[in-house]
Amino acid sequence: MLRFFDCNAAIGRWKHPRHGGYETAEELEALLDYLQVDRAVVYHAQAHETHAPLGNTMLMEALTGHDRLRRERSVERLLPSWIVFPHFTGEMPAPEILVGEMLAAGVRVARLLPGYNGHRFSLEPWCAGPLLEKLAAHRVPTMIDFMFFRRDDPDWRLLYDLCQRYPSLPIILTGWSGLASRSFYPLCQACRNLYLDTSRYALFRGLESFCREVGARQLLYGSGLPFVAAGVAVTTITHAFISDDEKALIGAGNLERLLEGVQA
Amino acid sequence: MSSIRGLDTKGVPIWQRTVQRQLRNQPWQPCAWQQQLRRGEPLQGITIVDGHAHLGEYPGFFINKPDADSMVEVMDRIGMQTAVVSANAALRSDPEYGNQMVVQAIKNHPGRFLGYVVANPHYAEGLEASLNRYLDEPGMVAIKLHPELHDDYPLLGPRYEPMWAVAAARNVPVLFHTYFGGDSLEDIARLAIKYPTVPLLVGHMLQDKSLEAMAELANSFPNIYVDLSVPEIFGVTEFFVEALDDVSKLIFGTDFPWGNCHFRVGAVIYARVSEEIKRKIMGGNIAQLLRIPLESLVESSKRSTEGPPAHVQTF
Repeated sequence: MLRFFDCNAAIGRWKHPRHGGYETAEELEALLDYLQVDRAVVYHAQAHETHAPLGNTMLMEALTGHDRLRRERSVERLLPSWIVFPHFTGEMPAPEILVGEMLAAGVRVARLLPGYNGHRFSLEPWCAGPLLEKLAAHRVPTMIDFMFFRRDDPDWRLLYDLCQRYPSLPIILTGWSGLASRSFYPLCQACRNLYLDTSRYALFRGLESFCREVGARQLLYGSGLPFVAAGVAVTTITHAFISDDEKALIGAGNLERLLEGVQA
Repeated sequence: MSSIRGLDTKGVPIWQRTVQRQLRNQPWQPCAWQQQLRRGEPLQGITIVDGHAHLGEYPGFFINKPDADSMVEVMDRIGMQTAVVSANAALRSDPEYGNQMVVQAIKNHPGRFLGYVVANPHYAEGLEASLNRYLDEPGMVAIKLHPELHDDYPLLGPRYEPMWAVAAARNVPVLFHTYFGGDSLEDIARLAIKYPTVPLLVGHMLQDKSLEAMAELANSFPNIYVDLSVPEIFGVTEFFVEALDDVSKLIFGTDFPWGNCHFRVGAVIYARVSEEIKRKIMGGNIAQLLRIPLESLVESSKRSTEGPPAHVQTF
């Protein structure tokens, strides 16, 4: 049975819950059981919608004591991911302190929401530079969520510059439909530290063409829970016309490799 | 009180029917179909008919092999029997060229495709004759409109009148695309009143307007159906099953090869609704709407694999 390790799930209460959407770590675990997904990287709704430091604290509290696999097999099933942004307003600790706190707490994935509907900051070096440099120094996988409308594309120049400027930083583009393959494939070929979370990657035979043109090593299974329906991203991978080895990389192997690469 | 101006809805409001906490507390129960998908197998024991699909290349983005043969290969992979398709070329460029592609796909793959004839309002002269000609073709079962790609032309605009006349005379369903800038909820209600014998499939379940309004419309007008072609929104299948007075109005669609049909089949199969309802949503409802026995689709496609088709099946 193909193993899955989800790079993109959340817990917590949202402004606009999806119908029947879960909130707690226990509920997420029940859903992972149903999907037969081994593990998930998780962020907190309040870190997204209220204030990142507050939500990150709530995440750590929520995960403590609720990780069944950790108790049973000494393996973390729900891995915390912190939402972070630059420190210049005093809301976040300076990058060297912040990243140190993250790693000390066992947080090995960062998440950024730079856009207008997110936390509204620039990814240019004069703003996000110190934070990204520190994340890159420790090779912390960093998810960037631009909160796209379904037809939007990333700022290609910005993404290219980021990947080139921080070659040791694994950058995971999340929540994107992948429609603009004509730009995305060459970008991924030029930037081997750029990854795509598959939670909304809904192209027809899209995994097949991506694996052929770019390679399976730059795709990570993400569920998009609790916004994307259960089973959607799993089925896309289980039924793709790609090899079992490629499915294994996308399903879990690539994320495991990135997490092993984090330097404490 | 309705969210649609001038519409007097009866009964329990949608928000009171769709109880968030009740569904949230409902356990996730594996079923045989969910297990088949998880193992990477095609679905067995359920007939899937995709009520909203396309065919062929599209200029705005790369689609990997969107031809009919490739689509059938993908349909077989997931266990989909039939897709009701409109040609991207007919929507985006030459309606005649595109509509012919659909006729040809139906001929080449009996039982695997049914067709929408696309009505382009910018070719209003001759539209009535053209639509009748296409709808006389075997397997061409409905009309597709895409106001957004046709320069925001409104559904109630005069250039569509010949099309509505054909649809009303032949009682064929009309599937129309909806989008954030498109026809208003009130105009869709007006359409339902003006053409009461035409089944109206409201495209993409009004995702850019309001899902609750979509349910209100379907509950208020016997000829309004919900095109469930964005089932990947968490909980949306369950929402419509609870919100609709009549679940037979919920028509499954995947929009493939614009998108990935496996993605959307997974959304419904993994949803927290009964197997009986999944069976209706995934194929039974559209078969009833089109008055096509599901068994006939399965039989005709079996015959097509036994040798070159001598005749196209008529439905």
